[in-house]
Amino acid sequence: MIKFVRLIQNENMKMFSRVSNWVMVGFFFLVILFNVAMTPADLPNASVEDQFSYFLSGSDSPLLVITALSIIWASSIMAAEFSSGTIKLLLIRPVTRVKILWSKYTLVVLYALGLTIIYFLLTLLFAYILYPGVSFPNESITIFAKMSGLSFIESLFMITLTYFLAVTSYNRSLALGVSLFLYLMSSVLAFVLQTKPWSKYLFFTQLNLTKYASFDGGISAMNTLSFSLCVLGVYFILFIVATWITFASRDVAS
Amino acid sequence: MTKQPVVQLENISKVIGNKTIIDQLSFELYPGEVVGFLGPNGAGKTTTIRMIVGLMAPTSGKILIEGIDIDQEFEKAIRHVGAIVENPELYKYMSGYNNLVHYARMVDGVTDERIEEVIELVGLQNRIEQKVKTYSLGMRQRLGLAQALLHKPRLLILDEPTNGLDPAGIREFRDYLRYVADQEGVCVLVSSHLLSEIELMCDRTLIIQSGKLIGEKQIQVKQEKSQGQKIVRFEVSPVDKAVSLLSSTYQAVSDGFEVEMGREAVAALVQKLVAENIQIYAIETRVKSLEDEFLEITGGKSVD
Ligand SMILES: Nc1ncnc2c1ncn2[C@@H]1O[C@H](COP(=O)(O)OP(=O)(O)OP(=O)(O)O)[C@@H](O)[C@H]1O
Ligand SMILES: [Mg+2]
Repeated sequence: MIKFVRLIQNENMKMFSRVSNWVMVGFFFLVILFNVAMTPADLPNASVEDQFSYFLSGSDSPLLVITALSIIWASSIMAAEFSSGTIKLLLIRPVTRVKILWSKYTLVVLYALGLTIIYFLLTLLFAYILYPGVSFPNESITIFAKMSGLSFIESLFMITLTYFLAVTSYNRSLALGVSLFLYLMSSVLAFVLQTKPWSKYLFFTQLNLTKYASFDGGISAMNTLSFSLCVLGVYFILFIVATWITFASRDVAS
Repeated sequence: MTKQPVVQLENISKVIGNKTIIDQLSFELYPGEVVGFLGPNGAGKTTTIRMIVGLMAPTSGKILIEGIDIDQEFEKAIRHVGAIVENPELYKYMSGYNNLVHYARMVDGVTDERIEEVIELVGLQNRIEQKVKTYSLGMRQRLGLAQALLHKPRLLILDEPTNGLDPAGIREFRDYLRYVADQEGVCVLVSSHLLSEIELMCDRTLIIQSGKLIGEKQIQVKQEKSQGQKIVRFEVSPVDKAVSLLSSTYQAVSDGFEVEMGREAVAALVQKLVAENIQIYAIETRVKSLEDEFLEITGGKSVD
């Protein structure tokens, strides 16, 4: 266990030694600030509470950035070791491959979790700066917390999918492209396929979880959060197992 | 030798697709020896090394390190191995020091003092805080060696290690390998194309071709060597009359011939030539080099 923590520490050191990561994190903060800057000053005929609530529910663009950054990291964190050849020196240590595989995955998950928490706290802080005097806690904060949490689950699923694609296909561009496409097009695909009942069992029609933050679908059993989570959960397990088996048995000849 | 071998390969084969890259390879390496691993391009040296360090799984056969099966107990077996496989590829965007910290974290018991010790050993004190991307090839080799030595391995495997080192660096490197082998009983396996290099630092060589062991040679120390077979070059006239007197096979060269013979035989041949009134202009001897033997054994063929 201690060893696994040290491996995550290593991955973290490598991640934050890269200039590209600082650029990405910087971009993430910019999007949060941009979101605040674009908020209209005072809406007429709206109470402070309503404006507060409106601001929080409209602040979801940074969440998209978090998922996108997570996908980028999930596609490259292992592939980078292969393309630079450093994988050879990494795998000849007294650490099983499985631990190395999951330490990288865990770091990307922690990265997404960390950014989500920072996003949640910062946005809330700005909300109170913009609309002081709103009571704490309140209903809109609960919904906002739910939205952030669900977005993290989306990120978690996308990380798993991307990591699976990257580790099994040896191809980071493919993993990045396919994942980003499915994620961004998820709502469109769900809409196009909505007349086909079987489409509900395809993971990419179930990727939009944040819509459940304020209401729980409820029209039919197939439009609930639990149903979406079940579908994603099955795929999640499949991806994890396939990633595991592929990596554990693979010859490293790069 | 009754010592336990540091590494044992038992009938190792590797088949990729339907091509047999390594074919029933077996050998044992012992503590304190520096072993050269030779073979023409594509012979399977790197593939063999990849299997010993667990990057590739053999199709059949068994590899034991310090008596531990690498396939059964990977973590325990690999604990004793330090290696550079082909080029020392390190994290270029990190400092040399952080690279070492990275590898130190992966093994239990590597202290900060040990890291400092290894840095000093490879002579990188002045550059260790700089990013690896600013390093020259030779400096990367040094850092590569440092990461291989961090955890005090019993088996040190180096694939083309002197590539990129300057002459002083090669000398230092050679002395260093001898030091760890002689003083600490480490077993060192070095693959290289530089035969003179191997000859200078190794106790023994293994020669492979097309995935099979085709030669094994103990390299004697210098004095013993001069008593062994030498290649002697005679510059004489007339050449055809002289060669008709030879009992062994010879190699014709300009104005003479070359024969492989011992010390006593040279004296006898000179007497014979003088008796036949043959003019001798020059006699040169040279010790048969590993290069001669390598080409002889492998047939000097091109890559197959
Ligand atoms: N992943 C692979 N797939 C198919 N063939 C391979 C693979 N890796 C190596 N080979 C083949 O195996 C043979 C041995 O290669 P290897 O790299 O072990 O040779 P080598 O002795 O290290 O050569 P060199 O002196 O050039 O470094 C070569 O014929 C090579 O083409
Ligand atoms: Mg090679």
